[in-house]
Amino acid sequence: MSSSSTTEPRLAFTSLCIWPAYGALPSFDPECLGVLAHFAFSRLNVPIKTNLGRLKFYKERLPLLLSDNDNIHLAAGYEAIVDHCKRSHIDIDEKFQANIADLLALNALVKSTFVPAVLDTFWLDDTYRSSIINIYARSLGGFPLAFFYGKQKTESIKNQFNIIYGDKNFDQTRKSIFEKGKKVLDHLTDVLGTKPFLFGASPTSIDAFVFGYLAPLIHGPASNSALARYASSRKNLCDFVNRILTVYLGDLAKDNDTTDSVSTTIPTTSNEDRLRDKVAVIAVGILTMCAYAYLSGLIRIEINQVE
Amino acid sequence: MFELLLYKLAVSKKSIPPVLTLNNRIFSEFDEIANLIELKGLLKVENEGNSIVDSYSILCTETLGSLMKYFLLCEKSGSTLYQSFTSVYPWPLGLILFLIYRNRTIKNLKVKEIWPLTYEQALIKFETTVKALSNKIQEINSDYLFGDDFTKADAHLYGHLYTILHTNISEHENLRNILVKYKPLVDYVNNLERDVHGLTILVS
Repeated sequence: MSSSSTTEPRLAFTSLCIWPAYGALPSFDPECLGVLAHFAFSRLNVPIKTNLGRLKFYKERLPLLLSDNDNIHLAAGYEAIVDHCKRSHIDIDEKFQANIADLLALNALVKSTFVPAVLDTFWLDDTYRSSIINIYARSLGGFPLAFFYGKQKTESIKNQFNIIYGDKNFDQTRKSIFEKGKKVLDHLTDVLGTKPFLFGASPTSIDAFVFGYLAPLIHGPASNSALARYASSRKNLCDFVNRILTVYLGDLAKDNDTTDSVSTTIPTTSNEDRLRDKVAVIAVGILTMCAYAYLSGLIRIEINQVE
Repeated sequence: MFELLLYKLAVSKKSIPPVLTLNNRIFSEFDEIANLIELKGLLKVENEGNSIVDSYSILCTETLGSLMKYFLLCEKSGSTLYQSFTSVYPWPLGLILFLIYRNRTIKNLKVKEIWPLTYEQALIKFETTVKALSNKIQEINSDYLFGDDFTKADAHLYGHLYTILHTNISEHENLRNILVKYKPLVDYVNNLERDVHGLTILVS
């Protein structure tokens, strides 16, 4: 991942599965981006896998950390992977013991107010929802998995909001989520100031987490949304995102681009999927026609026993 | 009929403690009361510090509060929570209310990614948070989290830590054992306790 790895800590994993690249982003998914940034900050070299089967994309929670020749699922999701790293004594926050309470508090604030605001913009705002689904649809192979994935994601986020904020007035809840999201952006702007990272010259886990949600908001299809425009108007936040993208994840974004272009010449699983789809559609068509012909009497099957 | 009335009372917003009645208006739950106190100018918070105070309040409620609920409901927990419902409400209302509360809380903890943690992982998370807060208090060398000013983050932190330290809940015994290792936090709770006991509270 990062070419500047000097002392590389060892973790018992073989690869990291993520959603594929989108534009300048090495992955569009906020959790995947957060994990990529976290690994880059930790100077960990991890083989990245974005060429999973469409069913795997649909079923598994990504990012997914694999071990033992990809046979064992070590951890899935940002929080579980970062915890796994900490248990393996790879902790980028170790140097910040003095400020660790500030770091935990900021993490709690971002998680409970900014993350819902971004998820609301992506999955509950009708203006941007279809564009967001289209990004995931490329990996899910379009209809029907993309349709079901989008529907499931939207429903689960609505459900989460109902559990946390109550189900009295959903529109009012969304408004308050947006206002709180803006307030956190103001706070992040103040905390960041002119520093390269939120807690000084070196990156911490909260930098990776904030970057994961801020980057797709600014550089994604929802960049015209009110929250994204509010974030883009903060120059230091934009610089923070672009700096991490170029300095820490620059190689990775390029890597993904090249693998995408290579995939046209090397036969991959997606080509096999397409062929299988064609065969399945033709087989179903022929079967339906035969059934119709048999039921309407066009074809009769007679069995004569010949002695 | 009586049970139905009790149930309605139990689940209505008015009955969620703490409840403050002021000039025929009812203020329920911590945030509503804290906002009123700030609005009346009884608690001074500068605009700059507001988000920092909020972030510490959220750390206390979302992390410490959620973990305390986790330990009351996890597989290794005893019957303290169930008894707290059945001692107030008659059977089967107590049981029904307990099951409703349990179901709601578990859903909430799942959303916050606390429920999937193992018992040991939850203990580690608790200790990490408590250690960080202890270091912060030791570093600032004051009675409160933010220097000389009492904030709602102090109220949240005191509320959670006092419950762990001074109530005899068996499910919180491991948390208590961790907490007593951090002297600055224990001293912080005891200092605030002196202030709280100095208040005259009318209970009607």
